[in-house]
Amino acid sequence: MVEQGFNHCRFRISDRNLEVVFAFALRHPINPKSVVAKIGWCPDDGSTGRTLNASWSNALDAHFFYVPGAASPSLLESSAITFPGAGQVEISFVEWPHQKTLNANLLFDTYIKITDNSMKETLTTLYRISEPGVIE
Amino acid sequence: MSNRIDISVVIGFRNWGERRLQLAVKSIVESFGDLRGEVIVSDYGSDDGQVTQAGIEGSGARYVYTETDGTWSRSRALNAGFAHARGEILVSTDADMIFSPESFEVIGRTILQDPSLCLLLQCRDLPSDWGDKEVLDAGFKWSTFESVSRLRPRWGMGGMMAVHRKVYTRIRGLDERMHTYGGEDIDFATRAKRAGQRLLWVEDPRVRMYHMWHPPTRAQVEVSPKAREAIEYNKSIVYNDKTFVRNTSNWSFPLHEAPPLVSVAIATHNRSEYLRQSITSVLGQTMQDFEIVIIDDGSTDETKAVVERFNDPRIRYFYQQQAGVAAARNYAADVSRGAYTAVHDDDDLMTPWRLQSQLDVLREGLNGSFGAFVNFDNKTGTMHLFRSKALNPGTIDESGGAPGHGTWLVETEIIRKLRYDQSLSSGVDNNLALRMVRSGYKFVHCGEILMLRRLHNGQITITDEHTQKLAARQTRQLFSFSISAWGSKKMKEERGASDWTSIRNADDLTTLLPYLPDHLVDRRFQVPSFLPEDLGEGYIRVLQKDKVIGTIISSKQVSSDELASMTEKEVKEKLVTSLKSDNNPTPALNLDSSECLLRTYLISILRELLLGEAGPGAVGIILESALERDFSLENDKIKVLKSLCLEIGGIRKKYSFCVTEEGVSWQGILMTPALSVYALSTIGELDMLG
Repeated sequence: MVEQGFNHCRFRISDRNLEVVFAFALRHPINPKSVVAKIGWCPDDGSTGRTLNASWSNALDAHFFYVPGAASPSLLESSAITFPGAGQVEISFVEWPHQKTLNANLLFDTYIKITDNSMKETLTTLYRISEPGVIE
Repeated sequence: MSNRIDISVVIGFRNWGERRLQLAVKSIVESFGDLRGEVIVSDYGSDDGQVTQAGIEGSGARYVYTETDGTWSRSRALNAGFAHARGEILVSTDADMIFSPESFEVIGRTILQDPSLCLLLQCRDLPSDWGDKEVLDAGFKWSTFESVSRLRPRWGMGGMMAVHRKVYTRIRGLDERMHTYGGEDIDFATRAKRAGQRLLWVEDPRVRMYHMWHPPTRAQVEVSPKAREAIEYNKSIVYNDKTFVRNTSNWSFPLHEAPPLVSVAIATHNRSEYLRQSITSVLGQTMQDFEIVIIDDGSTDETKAVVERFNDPRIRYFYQQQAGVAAARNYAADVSRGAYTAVHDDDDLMTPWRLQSQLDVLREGLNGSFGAFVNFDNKTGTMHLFRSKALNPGTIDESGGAPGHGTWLVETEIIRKLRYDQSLSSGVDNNLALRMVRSGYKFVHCGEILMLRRLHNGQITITDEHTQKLAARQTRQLFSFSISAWGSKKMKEERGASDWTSIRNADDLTTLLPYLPDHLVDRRFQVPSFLPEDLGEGYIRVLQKDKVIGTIISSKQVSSDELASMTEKEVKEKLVTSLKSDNNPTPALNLDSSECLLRTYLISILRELLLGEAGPGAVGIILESALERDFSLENDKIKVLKSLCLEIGGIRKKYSFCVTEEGVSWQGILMTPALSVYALSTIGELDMLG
């Protein structure tokens, strides 16, 4: 079977001020500061992308974040990012500093972790945000 | 009333020796003198068989037993006893205290003469050779006890505390959040003080409380980490919670015939349909300890029938010949039973948190609270926020106005004393507010949006605008009278940024959408519904053996009545709401997006499986695969509970719902190339490191 990997992900945000954490399932070890996630944010209200108030490493700028290094294939977690309202989140990964599209086989998948306290019991969910078949 | 009781003394206990209790009861019963007294022994779930009902009743007390889950809470035990008390004066004490022969006669008479007192008594410790057995053998040797005992060096409020029934009712008893013991007496007395009572330690030689020696229990209790934690929690309540009214959301053991804490006063005239919505918004409060007092000011429409249709004993209806809003509001104050009155208008709607958040900010020296409100257009639903300035002499001197009348929570007694001015036909609220402030009463902004004020053609502000302005001018002149130029200058100087309070949700009024009337909004559960019909390719279709058996659609609408009922019953369901007039193709919470619809639907199934069929700590997994593809989990600790075949945009997929046993590492599943994990959930926190 051909292994699939993804370097482009998207996710619809439907709540306001939703706090999310990203999780990356790595197929191979990666060096620190060798992979950057570019996060695009397209709000439904038609305004242009907004500055995201977060980083999980030494921030590159408002939309580029280092993926943490890992010595072995593992699950990595980012710090939280708050999205202000309904819209589309898109992430693409690039090798750094060469700025090449990431080898798709490096990542198994990318997930988004959301904690929902609106019900009686708190529900924590990891959603896969890689779209099968979308490899750019 | 022939069975009137002057004083009720309550002892709370769990698994405690009967002999000690009997001695305590006997000493109390013998100390009532001419007063009519009763002793209530509240057994909070004893299971060691030491105490019998016959043994307690034989010593002259009433015995009350409460089933519990086995945990000890002295505050709940005392409240459970007070729930049966009939006395005008309520006293709490402990099972290891004995009282000298005139004690409760003196204590009772002191409070009957001055109900503003909260009496406390410092105990005297009997030496270690004076336990309950020795006291029983020797009898009550009061002069001996006096000579051998020692005034307890650690000064406190425990042992004995006596207050008037009205005070206990107003502050809603001992704080039921407190567990085990420690701090509940200090907490109660401090709250009584904040509510205006004077604390007085009894210094009368006729009143003595002796503590019968027994091996110390605190050290035993503190062995348990859970108990230590409970005691720390109690301390945090004592140190940090500055309120005085407690148990507002859930008073498990209310006093017999205790009046409601809040009277919601509504004056109405010929607005039956608005009134129905207005009442519904009150019934949907998170704080349910209220009554609704409706004064019908001569309505000729079906107002009475609308009220009666609610068939709720908490709603009290009174009719008067039309006499104006001031007279109606005074009538409401006269018949209200609550310590606090929440002013509410017949055409406005309360936000569900209104009463709770207004009670939560009451501190020592405050007589009420108010808050921000939102005007909404009854035709379009457009909302506009009014923050409401601080209510103090400075702000009034400047503007002549008072914060939104429909957001007031005021001590009912103040309205009864000052009353609305019935000579005014309009602006009666401003007039009363200014007189309250001039009288020295203090109010605080609670930082919340409390009311949705309906803008419509029948409003008094619209129909009687001219008279309102005249009344406001007159009231301001009344306020300015006798204020010197220097006083006015000083008031202005003292004002500033503190006039404005920060308000929750002020930047996002859409959070209020669910509370607008039904004709303005579309309000639905977030969890989608399954419709057993094939609606076509534009929808998410559910398949069984390659045949479409139904469609997943957005859930059914939720009416404001249903929403109120859910809030009342503390049912928490996530809703999505949008304005009906909103033509935005992507509504606020894009339920129409198939991606969101699918996600919400699948997670709702997984959540149900986790709650119903999985053990604690289990992780639920949704695996996504092509229809023809099968997969092997190769792990017998992960079970597939359900599978679902769906067609989205012409593509068919299978979703398999699995749960792990507790402690099974789920991280490996995410790293398994053959499996495509759509989502993974757990009830509670998800430990990413495993």
